[in-house]
Amino acid sequence: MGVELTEELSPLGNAAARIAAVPRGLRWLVFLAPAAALTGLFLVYPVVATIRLSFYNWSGYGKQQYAGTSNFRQLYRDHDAVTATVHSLEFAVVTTVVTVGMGAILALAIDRKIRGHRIFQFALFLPVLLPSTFLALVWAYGLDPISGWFTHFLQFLGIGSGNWLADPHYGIFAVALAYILQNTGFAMIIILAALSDISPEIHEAATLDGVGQLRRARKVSLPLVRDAIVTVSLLQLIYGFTNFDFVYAMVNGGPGTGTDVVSTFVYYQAFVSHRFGYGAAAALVASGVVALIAMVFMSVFRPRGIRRAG
Amino acid sequence: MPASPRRASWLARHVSRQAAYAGLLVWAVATTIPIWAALTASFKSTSEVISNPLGIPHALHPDNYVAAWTGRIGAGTYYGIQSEPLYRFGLHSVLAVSIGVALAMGTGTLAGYALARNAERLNFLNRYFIVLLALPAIATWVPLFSLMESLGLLASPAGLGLVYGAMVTPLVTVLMRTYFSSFPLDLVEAARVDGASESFAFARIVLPMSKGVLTVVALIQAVFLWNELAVAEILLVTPDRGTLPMGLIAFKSQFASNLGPQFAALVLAIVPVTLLYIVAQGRITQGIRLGALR
Amino acid sequence: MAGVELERVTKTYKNGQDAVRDLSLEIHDGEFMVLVGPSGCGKSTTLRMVAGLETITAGTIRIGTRVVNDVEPKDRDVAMVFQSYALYPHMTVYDNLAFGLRRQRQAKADVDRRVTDTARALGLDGLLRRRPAELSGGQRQRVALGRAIVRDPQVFLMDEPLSNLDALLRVETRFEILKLHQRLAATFIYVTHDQVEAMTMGDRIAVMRGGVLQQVDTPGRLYERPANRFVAGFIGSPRMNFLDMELSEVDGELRLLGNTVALPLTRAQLGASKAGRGARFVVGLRPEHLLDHRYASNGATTVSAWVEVVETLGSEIHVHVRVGDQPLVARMDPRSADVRPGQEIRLAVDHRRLQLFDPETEQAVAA
Repeated sequence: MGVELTEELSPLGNAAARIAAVPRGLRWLVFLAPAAALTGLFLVYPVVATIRLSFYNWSGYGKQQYAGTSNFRQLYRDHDAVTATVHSLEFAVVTTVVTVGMGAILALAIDRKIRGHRIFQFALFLPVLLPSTFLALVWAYGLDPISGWFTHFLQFLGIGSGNWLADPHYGIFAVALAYILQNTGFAMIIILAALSDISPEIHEAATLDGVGQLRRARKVSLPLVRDAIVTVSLLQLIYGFTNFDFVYAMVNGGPGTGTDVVSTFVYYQAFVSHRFGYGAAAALVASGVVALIAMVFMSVFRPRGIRRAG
Repeated sequence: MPASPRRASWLARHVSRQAAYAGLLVWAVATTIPIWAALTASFKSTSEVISNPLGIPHALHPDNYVAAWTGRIGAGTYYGIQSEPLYRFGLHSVLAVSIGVALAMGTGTLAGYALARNAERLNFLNRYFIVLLALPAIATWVPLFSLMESLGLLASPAGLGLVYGAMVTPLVTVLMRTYFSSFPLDLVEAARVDGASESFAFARIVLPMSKGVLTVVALIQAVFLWNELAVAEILLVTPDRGTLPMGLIAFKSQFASNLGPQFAALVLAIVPVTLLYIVAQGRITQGIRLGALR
Repeated sequence: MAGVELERVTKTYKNGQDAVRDLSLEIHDGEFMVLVGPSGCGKSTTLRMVAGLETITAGTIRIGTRVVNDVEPKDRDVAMVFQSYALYPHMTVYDNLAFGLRRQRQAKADVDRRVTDTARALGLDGLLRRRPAELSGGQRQRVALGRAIVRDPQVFLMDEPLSNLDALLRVETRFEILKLHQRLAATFIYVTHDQVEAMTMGDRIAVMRGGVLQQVDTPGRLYERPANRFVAGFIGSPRMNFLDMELSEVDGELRLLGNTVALPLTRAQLGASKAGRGARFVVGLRPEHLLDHRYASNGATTVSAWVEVVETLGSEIHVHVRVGDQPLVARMDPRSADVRPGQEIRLAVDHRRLQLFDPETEQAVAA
């Protein structure tokens, strides 16, 4: 009886086992499908479409006209496009150098636990979380040539008056100044995190060796967080170059002001002037520049893995 | 004049340290000025905003807040100034961000787990998501507009939520993959031998144990999306359907020279994030470290 | 209840390395089978393949009469105790024990009864509402055991369950596990790297090395008749002594000649081997077959040795000597407590108990 029972059960068992066994690899596909589909539709497809669209002229309605490489050739000669690119580069470089530099200094100070370091950290990081719209608008007001408090402050310092934001050459730096003051916290937090990863024994060894604070920062701490500094610099370069929110909110006006950047150029061309193809071409070129910057940066400052000695 | 060199160097160091501290203080002040400026200005009348930009208000004007909230200045429409009420913008933001975060967390956590469990076989997919992370958004703007238009989802905060979800899914995926890679696998194996399928083990063992990380990641995405402007502008088109950042800009043009209510609106806009930061500060900075140092 | 059969099972990793190669092993229903071997020998991998946590590259695994190659772990009706216990940290002890049962959708009263019965049997009934973090190492181990017991599976799998316990607890728990096996009369497959543990617990022991099964036998036969040099050296503590020797024949009398030792040999000890004069062998002598000549029977072959180290264990003494440049270990009883390092002593060799191994193939020359 016992033997028969076993034999009866096993064919059923085998069938059930075979059914359950089928979706083994399929299951992971189910896990991955939603993310792949979502990103595929709203991220990958648009990028591919941008590439295609850059070879056409289109107003957003009606038919698309094939235009070959005319968009690109036109971009090359477009004075506004060039200006926007220059502005973006200036913005990217200035914001990166200053935020990372200042961020490193702040991070070192906070890591050393100077008096009130908690408050410093709190206050310096909060602006990073605020909408750039808020900060940009408040600063835009502060820089208002007539009523702005920052303008008053500059006049007090004797640095002349002027409509900074509208200035075609220096406007972008005014925007950069505001951006720097708000976003240094980002670089600071990342560098701070890397600094706090340094084993305290290294600091103890330095103290025993009689290394002063300043030298220790330069020769010990900073080199050890080199990778974090490189990473955050690259990130800031890219954000700075492609930034839209801050610049747009700050000038909040039409094109042709002194602070047009690459992203606002694309926006105006595509959605205000209704030149979708041209806008797509500009976006493509801008992305190409970003990729170029990233590659050059990575090859110059190739991130090295930290080898732990001993 | 100090006589010995030792005293001189001590003095120099002491002075330089004080100077450095002062410098830091100045920087911190400069960083937080906008908040102070907005806060004080929000209670002032327009003329006082101009005359006394950074000082304490001489007279309080809480009606600025009412104006901002309701979008109307003065009783009735005497001034003829109307804008969408602030809370309408807030509602749109809440809708778009909630949908976006929910979508991204849902799809990204699943994908991150699958990638962590099948690291060798699915390595190429890792690179897919990392490349997406580095994607400059401007390359997606134009076709995204036409796509949403053909889907009939323009000027729809819910539709924006879909796009927001797609935008942050790569980051969620990568962060969760990193986290799941160091998750103790033998717990999952024990569950599987105990009779749980992979999905059941994921739902009942892995997820409950990961609540902390999931919360932090979700918060980070929420903050990022809440402040987003570019895609919102493009897809929501008109201010009356806009999110909060769009609303703030609309207020500037609508209220023009009525500065008080503008600042009131600005202050209202940052209340949620500030509260969140005060409450969850440690968690958020922790989460950023988790991501940045991977 | 069911036995487990592995037929030519192989597990190859992506990089081409074989974790387990061509393993054929039959585990009888109700048997306590121990898989033992050094790290990396494939014992854990084999266990995990039986559990379904690793895929099988080639071969077949049967539980009972059912082929389970592609069956999910949850459908195999096996239970596993992990080295790290793998208790669910966010659940109480009760929920940990009940997890598997709830999965099977058993009646709630049924589940409760089985959980409380098992908890009582393991002395855990006061701890049912606690979380794993609040338990001691020994208590966690018992919960891990309980989780397996409560499911009443066909096969119990144990992956080095005692390695995280201190020495005293380890001995106690070994005993508990054996009693459990007697009571449940279920099939147990037990993995360990400790040969003492293997010898004391197994009905049969499978010795593995480098993914290949060396020998599967009862503890006694493994000890008395190791199939190859590796098994001979792995089983038994202190380790068997190995000497390189050459066969010689003088006046019809066989002898084994080493550098400094000569031993007589009978033709029977050569078994079926056709080895002739000059053949080389690796000769194995267990430490207990090297005796203090003062207490050995007369006429035994003796050899002169220089004492290097003496280890006193109370009930026995391990004497490390050198014969020429050949190191040997002898196991003596307390009567030889007067042996000191630096002394010259005489060892009697019980040459009837020596083992012969082929120097190239390392296989035992049958006796």
